[in-house]
Amino acid sequence: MGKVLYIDYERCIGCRACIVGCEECSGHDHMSRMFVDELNPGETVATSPTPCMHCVTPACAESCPVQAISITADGFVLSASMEKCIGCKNCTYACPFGIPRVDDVKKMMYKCDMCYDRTSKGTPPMCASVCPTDTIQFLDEQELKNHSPKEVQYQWDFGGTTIETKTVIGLPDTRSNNFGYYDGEGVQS
Amino acid sequence: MKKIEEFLRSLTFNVRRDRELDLNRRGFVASTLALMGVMFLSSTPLVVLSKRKEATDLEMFIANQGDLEVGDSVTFGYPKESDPALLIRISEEEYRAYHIKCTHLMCPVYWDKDDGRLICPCHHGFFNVEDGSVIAGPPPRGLPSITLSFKNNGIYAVGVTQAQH
Repeated sequence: MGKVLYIDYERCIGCRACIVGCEECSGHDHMSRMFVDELNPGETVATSPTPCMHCVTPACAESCPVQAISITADGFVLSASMEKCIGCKNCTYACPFGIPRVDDVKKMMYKCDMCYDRTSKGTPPMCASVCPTDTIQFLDEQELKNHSPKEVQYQWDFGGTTIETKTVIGLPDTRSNNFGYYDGEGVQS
Repeated sequence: MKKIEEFLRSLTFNVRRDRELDLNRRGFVASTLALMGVMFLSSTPLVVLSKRKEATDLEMFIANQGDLEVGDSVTFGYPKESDPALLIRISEEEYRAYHIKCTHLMCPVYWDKDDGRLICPCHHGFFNVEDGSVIAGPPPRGLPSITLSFKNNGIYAVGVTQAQH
């Protein structure tokens, strides 16, 4: 078992360094595959970085009519092959997380490929390397899924269809509040 | 159930990068050859069936020997009533009998006395009256001929011989 992305939304400060890092990564052609979503603009400044979740059975790859999206031996879902992709946007519609983007001019889909040139050599992906708050980390998959100190989620239920992902999300710890920021005793909500 | 689903996925989706070449080139050649083999094997029962002779030992009376003038013909059904056939007297001593479903598109063939040939009017197929072979036209093979036997001044149909091209 290799390493996977671990994302702890509680730690994100919305600096968008991951976006810039993603653009700078070699092979990404200055197109960011990272999303930083504002969760509830106006109410809170909370943000969440969203790269590809790297599903075990990726709907994007299975919906691709030309099979341009391939899965590596260690289970990462790559961006579409430049030679094969026809820009049909099937993957964008199929993805339950809404990850793949399509360049309409080049007629090409692009999505997070885990900086495969880096991660296949054991180097963390660009987003994890540049994240100043350790929101995005590159950790051992087994360790993370089985012995994480914080509650994690890597199985998602979409109307009865369970999707298992390689990317692991750390859930807010509302019981002990040992992680991230929390409201103090005296705060009136 | 999960295993079956995984197997079907692996068959359907060519998305594993490490197996890309297997499924693209060698897989294509192998599956093409396998498909050819399956089709070849599945056709052998049909070949055996078509080679097997239909055993009809049914003997059926058609007409008396004196009923027909030379050059005349009479229709009958053999071996079943729904298999139309034609008995033709081509000389004093010689009779011929053929199924008259044309081997092209099963139009009824008729005996043209003046022309001396069996003619299919649909697409101008012509058959030799001597052995039922094709003289001209689109039919792919000759007419099935009916073996005759003569007993007690009567003409009996005793068997069918399929034309061998």
